Amino acid sequence: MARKVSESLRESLVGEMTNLRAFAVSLCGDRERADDLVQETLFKAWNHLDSFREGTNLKAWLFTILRNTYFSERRKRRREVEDADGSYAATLSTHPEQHGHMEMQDFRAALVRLPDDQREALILVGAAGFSYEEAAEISGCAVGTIKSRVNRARNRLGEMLGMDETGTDEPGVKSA
Amino acid sequence: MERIRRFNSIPGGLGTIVDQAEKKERRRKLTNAGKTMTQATGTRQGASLSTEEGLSPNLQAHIGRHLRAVFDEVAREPIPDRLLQLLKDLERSGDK
Repeated sequence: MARKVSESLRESLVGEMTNLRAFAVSLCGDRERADDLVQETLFKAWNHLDSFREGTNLKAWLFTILRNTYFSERRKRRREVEDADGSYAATLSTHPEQHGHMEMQDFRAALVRLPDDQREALILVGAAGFSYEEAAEISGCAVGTIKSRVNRARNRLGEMLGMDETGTDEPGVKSA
Repeated sequence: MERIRRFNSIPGGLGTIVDQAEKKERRRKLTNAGKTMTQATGTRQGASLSTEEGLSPNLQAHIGRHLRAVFDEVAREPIPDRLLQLLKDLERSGDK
């Protein structure tokens, strides 16, 4: 499967790696695992570059490979260890090496406790800069499903972080 | 058909992309009717959703800022050596 990759495609690939890492870390909440995911994604992408049409959305293509890898791994893990309630994800919420103030730590902890599909939708739309349409394509579901996942994710985060609807100010935000 | 079979043989890999491409076309036809409506709500960034779901725009903005902070913090970091190394290895294997 050896191939010559065009210089521009190679550069684009490297250019997307920082975003891909950010997606992986936000999605799985664990840096080491995230880099494994990126590594696997890169490997798969490289070996299937012939299925990628240059000029189309490389970022979306890479994100799709990464999330498919993540979710199939999660399914496998779930079969091995009964983890239907997401307790595995909850154990990932504390990372001593992660700095930042208390509020960001709380936010990270709440984020990993979201159901996988809701977290994914929220990150794709709210941080990675994809449209609802694009996020739906990446996740392989309907646009309406993405919208409802994003909504549920926001509501759940609001609950977990104890932000009540009456407070229009933001509790404890010192601005970043 | 040959292509599709080949993709599907990759565990957790690209098979779904091909499936998605087919579904996408069907979905596009299905959703075409409601498309302008979808786009309208999409560009309002959930302003209308908040009234449906009871989450105020302020809270949404608050969550959005934190989410982007988590994402951007990692996105700003340099690419780890092991990933750059992998890329080099892949290129070398491709040169043969």
